[in-house]
Amino acid sequence: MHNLLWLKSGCCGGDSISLLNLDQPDLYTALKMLDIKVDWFPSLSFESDKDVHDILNKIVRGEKKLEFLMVEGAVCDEDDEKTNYVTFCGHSMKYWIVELAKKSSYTIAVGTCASFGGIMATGSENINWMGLQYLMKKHGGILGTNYRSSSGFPVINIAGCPAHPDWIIGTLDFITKGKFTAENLDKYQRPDLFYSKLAHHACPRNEYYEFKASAEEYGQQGCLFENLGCKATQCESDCNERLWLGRTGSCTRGGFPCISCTSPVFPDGFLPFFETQKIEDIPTTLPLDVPKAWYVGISGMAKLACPKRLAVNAVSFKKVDVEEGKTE
Amino acid sequence: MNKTITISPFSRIEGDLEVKVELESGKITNAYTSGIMFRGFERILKGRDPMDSLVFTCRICGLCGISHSTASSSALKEAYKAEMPPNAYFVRNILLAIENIANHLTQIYMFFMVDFLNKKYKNEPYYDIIVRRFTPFTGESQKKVIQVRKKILEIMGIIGGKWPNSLVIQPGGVTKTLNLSEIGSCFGILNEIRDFFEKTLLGCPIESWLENKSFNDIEKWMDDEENAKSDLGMFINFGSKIGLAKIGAGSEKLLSCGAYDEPDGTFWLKGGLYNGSWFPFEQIKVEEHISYSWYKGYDGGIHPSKGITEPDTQKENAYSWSKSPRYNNEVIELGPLARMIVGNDPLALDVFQKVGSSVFTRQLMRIHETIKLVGKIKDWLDSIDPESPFYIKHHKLKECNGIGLVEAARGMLGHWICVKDNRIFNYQIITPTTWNFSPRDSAGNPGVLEKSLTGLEIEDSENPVEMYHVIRSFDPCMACTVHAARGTKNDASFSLPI
Repeated sequence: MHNLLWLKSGCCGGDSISLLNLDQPDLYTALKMLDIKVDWFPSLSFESDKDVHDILNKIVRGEKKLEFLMVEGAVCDEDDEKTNYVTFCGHSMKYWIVELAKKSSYTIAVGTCASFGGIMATGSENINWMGLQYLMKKHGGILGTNYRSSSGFPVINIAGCPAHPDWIIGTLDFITKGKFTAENLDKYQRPDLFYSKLAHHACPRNEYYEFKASAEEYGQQGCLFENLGCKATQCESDCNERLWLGRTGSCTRGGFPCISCTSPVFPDGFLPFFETQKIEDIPTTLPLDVPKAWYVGISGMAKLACPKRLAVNAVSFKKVDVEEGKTE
Repeated sequence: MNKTITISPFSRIEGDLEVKVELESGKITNAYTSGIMFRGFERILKGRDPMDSLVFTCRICGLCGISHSTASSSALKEAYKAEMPPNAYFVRNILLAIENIANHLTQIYMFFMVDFLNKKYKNEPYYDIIVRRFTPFTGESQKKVIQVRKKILEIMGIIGGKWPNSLVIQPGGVTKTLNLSEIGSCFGILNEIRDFFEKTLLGCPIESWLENKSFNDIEKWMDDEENAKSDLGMFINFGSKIGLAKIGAGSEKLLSCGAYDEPDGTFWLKGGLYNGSWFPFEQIKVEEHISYSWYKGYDGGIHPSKGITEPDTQKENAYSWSKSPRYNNEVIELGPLARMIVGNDPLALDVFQKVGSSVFTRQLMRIHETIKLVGKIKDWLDSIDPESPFYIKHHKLKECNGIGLVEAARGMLGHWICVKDNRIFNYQIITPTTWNFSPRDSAGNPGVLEKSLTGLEIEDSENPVEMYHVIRSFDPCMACTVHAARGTKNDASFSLPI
């Protein structure tokens, strides 16, 4: 049997909540299938107070094994003896994470805050919030650049704000099957199984995207990339293929722009969120999966070739029937 | 014999909470509540594009992002003089209802009921049933509730794209345009989840429960064997047996800003202050105190539109980063109980009168509100007209102010925005948990939970389960207590000798 400990540092609890939304199968079935015993999970466990101290101390003293150390939220780089912005069981959270990470077989950062600092690391004066092994794109973080868990892995980053529950459980599944190697981590130590696509892939607005038939305001059916700030062509995730909440939705399916929440430079690398910055008519946020020069050339032609059906519907909130085959 | 109990960490709530109480002969004489985390969103927001608040504030809390979205978009809507089409009101109400139901189900099953498993109760009748149903991860009802929770969130997915952290709600309405097929799917899901509510939670049709208008009606309802055997029946039976009706009185003054607004400006659950009788709610009477919080800059209380968030880690006597919100200088309770009473729900009023404010009443009203909401969503779904727009484009204003108030699962949530030169000049947030879990104010009055714990008898200071019931009945969301708190590492120096 495997065991797991989940700690919450500077966070909103959104990754825990997201984990509860796990579908195919539900969380309890998944834990049973993976043969994982949850030693402590703040939102669900019976134990409080001294019982929790006991669990932590036993692990730190080496009297109890710890396979999966899961951390949610950014960690404050603070001196254990001085100001504690996040305290836990009589110490700073940093103290516990450093000590427990010496014992864990796998140390897993859940969510963008724990991975890269995320929202918490944004504009916080005097408080050094960071991820477990990164601060944005800078390697190091709380555990340092040389950190390896006892299985030899660096911190595994399950980025996302929140992380998709499949990405969390899928990673555990991957590991417990014994198939996970360092090759499976991308350049930001994210499992490439989930982060090698773009959120843009499988977006239902792709037909509009191809012909640059763009929405001009929210509620319309057109592509959100050209005017409304969508960063799905820069966001490394499989959101629009995998879908959320029982495979029912995604950001762009909800009609609002992707803000690239799996990125190490989320959120401030993607400002402004709701409009597209352009030089002349060309967005500055060009897609990651197409050569830039080609994109510029093709998009001008695509716009000229846009069927009227798409041009009309792109700026309509509901479907309008237009005679096929005509161009604008 | 004096003794101090400090419980930290306190699990099965949202976020990190530390509770410290002083005991004298087994009775709590003083209680102090602190969050143990500093996050400081208001400072992060300063100087940003006002629209950024939509992205940031929903990330204050992983449980109530839709409520924060509603509050921040409403504040921007007022500031930018934006308009919302009728469809957007209905859709927003559906999303808020789904989020509140998901929150309530989590609190009821995963947080609150689990305390019934406490070893103190192992000789009580029905304890075996409690263990079978409510054990975390494996209990029969726990397994069902994790299924129904994710099923109902599929409506959130269809409309809101994802959750937590959907950006579907904007100042001009909602970005999602629903078609007839999607509305049909939402109806379908609502019908699927009825099974859980009727077979597991209630033992009767939702409509039959909603016919209960008095405490007497509930007693009669309990005479039916199916009802008594249900999870709600078990709560009523077991909860009464272990004395939940006698502990955890909150404030007699209850407040709601009004919940689920319709396009015509009315509320499904009207707002106001209840103090034995009803008074209109006036947001101008809201003030925040910082006498016992690690902040500096003023004495007494000030209105959030003028709020200051200036940390002072060395402040004497302070024990929380949470400010103390007060209404007309009084300590006020918020939450489902307040919403039901202020909203004039006959069952709530009768139980409040007969049983009084207690853990039992508060928890029963949370369950009651959940059931009412499940019954109500279909009306909003029916009101949506897919042939009409869901969003109206608005303009940005350079200098403006706005207020956004909404009833989140745990009570009134307020956002106050002040925009100067197209940037956020000031942003203040008061969350419901800040009200219920506030430290003492400048007059020395304890917050609602502190007051509620005072006088509570603790049978075994090594296992203060009575405290657990009281604290969890308020459903604290410490992630939301964004002014947040710094934990004191040197707790020992604070403790009294045993």
